[in-house]
Amino acid sequence: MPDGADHRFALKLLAWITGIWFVGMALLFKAAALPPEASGTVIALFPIGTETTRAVTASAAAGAKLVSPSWFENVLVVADEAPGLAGRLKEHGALAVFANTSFGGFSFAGCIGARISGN
Amino acid sequence: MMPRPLGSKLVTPARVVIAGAIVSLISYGVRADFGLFQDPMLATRGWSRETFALALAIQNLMWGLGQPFAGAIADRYGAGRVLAGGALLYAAGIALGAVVEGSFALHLTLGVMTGLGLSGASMFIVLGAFGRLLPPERRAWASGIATAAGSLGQFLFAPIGQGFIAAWGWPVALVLLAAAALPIIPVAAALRSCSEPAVAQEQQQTLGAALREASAHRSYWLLIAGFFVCGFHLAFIQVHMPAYIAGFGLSPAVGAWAIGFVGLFNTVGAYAAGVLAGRRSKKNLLSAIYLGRALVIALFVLTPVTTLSVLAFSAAMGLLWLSTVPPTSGLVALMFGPRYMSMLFGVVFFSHQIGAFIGVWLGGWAYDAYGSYTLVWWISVGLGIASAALHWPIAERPAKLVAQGA
Repeated sequence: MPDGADHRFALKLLAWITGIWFVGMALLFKAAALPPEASGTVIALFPIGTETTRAVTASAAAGAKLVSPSWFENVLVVADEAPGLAGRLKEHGALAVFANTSFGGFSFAGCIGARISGN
Repeated sequence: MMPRPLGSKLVTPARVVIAGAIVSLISYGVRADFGLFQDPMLATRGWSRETFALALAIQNLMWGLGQPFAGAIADRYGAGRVLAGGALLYAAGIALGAVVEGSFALHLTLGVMTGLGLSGASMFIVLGAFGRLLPPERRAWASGIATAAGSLGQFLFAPIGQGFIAAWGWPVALVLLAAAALPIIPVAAALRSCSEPAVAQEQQQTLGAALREASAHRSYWLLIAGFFVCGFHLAFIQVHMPAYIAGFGLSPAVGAWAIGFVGLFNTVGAYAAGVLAGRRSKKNLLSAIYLGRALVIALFVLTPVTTLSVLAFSAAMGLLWLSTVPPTSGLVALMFGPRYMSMLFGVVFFSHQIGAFIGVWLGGWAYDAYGSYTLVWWISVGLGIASAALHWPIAERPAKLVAQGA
């Protein structure tokens, strides 16, 4: 029968996996972030806890037009063709700016999921 | 923990469990990302949604069809070889998906190759290996870990896939995902042994004899019928739930949180089911899980749909989501032993995939016909109760003892 040591083993395994994942995601975020001079339609990531209205206001201050909100209040799809949009968004509080790739759908827990964003 | 050696200094029970968890995490995690490629691939290649959806439908079908055969090969030649071969095919199918331009080629690569590769590199081959490599008292717990790792993989790989696409574009992202599947090959080495004493005792039985024994065993059929319901529930809820929620005017953010809750609680539920399956009656646990699903779905349909009710439903369903896997695989191992477990569980899993297909299709058909999902929700409740009843009379003993009337 599994005992306390086995549960600790499972927790350690979980900690290792999530730890490696966090490191990988940090590197991936860095690689995926757009350079400051980028423009066009982008995804702006604001700090967790930022309300949509504040994120929209900050984006507008950076000269960006709202394209669509997302499932997360702190993530917006915004657009502006003038060069330097990514840099301006970061100056106005965005943590990072990414190319606009839509979440067209995904599979989860063994099944094919439905469309999750109107991007 | 688990100091018992397994015939090789390199293959210890702890390493077997870690290797199985990593294989599950990667194979299910990579698979979770395919949907992310739909829009960018359609935009570049000019395919219709139906073309892409058909590729994923073929993939699921091939996975289900290939699982018993992959299991049979694993039972004969060892899980390590099948996992390695499956991972190679899986990676090749994904990588080739980046360069194909015609719809037939897409169906062949991302559909057939990836689906068959998945059946070779899947958690179910891992569970068979656990049956052969781990002592009986550890198997259910270990299968709980592998199932939980698979759930976690799907959760963790989604942002990885999105990051790959954002950073390097979808063709490179597909190749990177293919590369991400390759570590299964070296890791599978820890699951290659099949020389357990328990297996040696059953070496005399042929594959055909094992299939005949299983097909003549009433409890095996009950298990197959019960697992059909698992597939039906999961696929119907996963595919049609977002539209159902949206129909009540809830914010799309609620849908995101709901999926997050399912993933989080699924990991907890799968592990807990593994622990419980090692301590309690597996068939009773399955009856309780399916009855629990019926109850949770009925409550969800009967109560007003609010943010709170959606999140509570997601958490409860998450706990019951893949928690069926450890007791179901444990029952197959108990009935027939570990020798042909991968193949026999593969047959059970095929029933799951048929249930999934019907769940998705029926949901769409009912909505088109009646403008609501209510009918299918209630069918889900009925199927949950039926599955609980089906598991109840299962003889939780080796099939040979049941046949002898012991």
